[in-house]
Amino acid sequence: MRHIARQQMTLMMRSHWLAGFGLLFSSLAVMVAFLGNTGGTGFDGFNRMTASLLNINLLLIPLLSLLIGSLFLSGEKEDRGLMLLLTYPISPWSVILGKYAGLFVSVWSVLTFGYGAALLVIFFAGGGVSVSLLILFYLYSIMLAAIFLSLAMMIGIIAKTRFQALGISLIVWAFLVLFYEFIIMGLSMFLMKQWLLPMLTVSIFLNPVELIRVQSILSLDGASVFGPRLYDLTIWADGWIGKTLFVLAVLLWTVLPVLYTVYRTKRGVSDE
Amino acid sequence: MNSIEWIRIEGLAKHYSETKKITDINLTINKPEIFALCGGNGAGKSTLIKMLTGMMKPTAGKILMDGKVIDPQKQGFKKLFSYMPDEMLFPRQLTGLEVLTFFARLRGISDEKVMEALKQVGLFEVRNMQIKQYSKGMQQRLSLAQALLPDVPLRILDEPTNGLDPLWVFRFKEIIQEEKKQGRTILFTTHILSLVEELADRAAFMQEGQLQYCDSVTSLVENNGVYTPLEKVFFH
Repeated sequence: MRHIARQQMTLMMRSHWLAGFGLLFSSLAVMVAFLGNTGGTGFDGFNRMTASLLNINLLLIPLLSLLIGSLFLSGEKEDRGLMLLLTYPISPWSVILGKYAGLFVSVWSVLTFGYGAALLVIFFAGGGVSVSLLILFYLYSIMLAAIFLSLAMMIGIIAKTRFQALGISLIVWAFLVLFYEFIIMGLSMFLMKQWLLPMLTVSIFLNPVELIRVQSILSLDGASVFGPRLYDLTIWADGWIGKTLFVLAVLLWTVLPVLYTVYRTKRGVSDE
Repeated sequence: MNSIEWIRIEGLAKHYSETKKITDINLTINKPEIFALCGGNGAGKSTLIKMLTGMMKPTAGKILMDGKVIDPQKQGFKKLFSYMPDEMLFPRQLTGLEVLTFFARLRGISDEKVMEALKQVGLFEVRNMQIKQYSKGMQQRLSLAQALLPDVPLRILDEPTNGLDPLWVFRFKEIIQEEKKQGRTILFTTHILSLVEELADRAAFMQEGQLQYCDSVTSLVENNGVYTPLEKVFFH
């Protein structure tokens, strides 16, 4: 597994995709940090800067994790590299987990670099920085990358070609990031009032983007943005049950797609 | 060197659809020998190889080794063979040396053996060149080097001479004959019949997912008339 992870990291470090992602993410994070700090708001609580950074995270990290992960795996399948690896005396577990680890460490390094650059800008621009909050925010970004890389592996193993992987990734991203909230809003109009809160609660857990968004806002003490009607939900989500379920949901969203990828790999990648 | 029966394939089948299927494949592979699996495009050679290497699960049938049923997906069997895929594309951003070193590490093979394999396929001088600068033939030779790396009793090569120039086809034949002298079994697929006549001890012919003939190359040629080339068997 170690050799496969290392090889995957080497491939990632030499890929234009990761370099492009790194450049885009870092420059946007630095720009948000610089512009958002013009009033000296700093990185403390839910303000213009943290909201912008959160939006960048929720838009970019899923998109790029999905694209990078799915294109690499489907590409390797198309080029027969994955099939060749599976003829080696290594378990499919080691192959898939090694690839996942390599992808994850590469994306994690890019995120760390981006956050580091943004932190430096905030520091030199004289804004206040809550270190614990920043670390929490950074952890949420890593969780988001972990979840979407796992989904990307699943897409990569399902897709027959790179183009198919690209298409599926874009559809999944658009659904989870762009359309999901409109669908939920639309559904809420047809539901009875007593079913609204349970439906919204479940909808948060069914979409990793919403899961991270809600937890990030709560961590930044920004629960007021949800409005008075969702007060009960924010209290529940911020309590220990909510937090435990959040951790469990993140774990499930990360583990289940990887498990499915291993299952498909065991079944035979060239069966299709 | 006398060869003995080693691997037996019994009733192996893979069913995709009514028009696309492989049915009832029965054949034996001896140790040591050079065994050629022949057939036109879409005859089912690569599918049979995929089932044998554990990349694909058969719909029916079994594979026996030394009389015992084996599961090709288990690591125990995978330790016994190396595989060269058909038209393998290595990551373009890596060098030939990096690619081969990676595959060597997966089997715990030393760097000296990597250099030896690179020399064997004539890529030692260009080992630090990126794959994107390699020609198709060079990539094919790198793929062959990857299959020659481990000290295993069986080498399975899928269309190994594709993209090779005449010089390297000649070198390939030398390498394979040397491998047999070392007691190995080489199973290769091809549609180049002259290669089969020159190299293989036995050959099997597949057509539309079915095994048509399986015999020694000498018998196949003789049964179809003295000095009749294998083309006759193929077209029959």
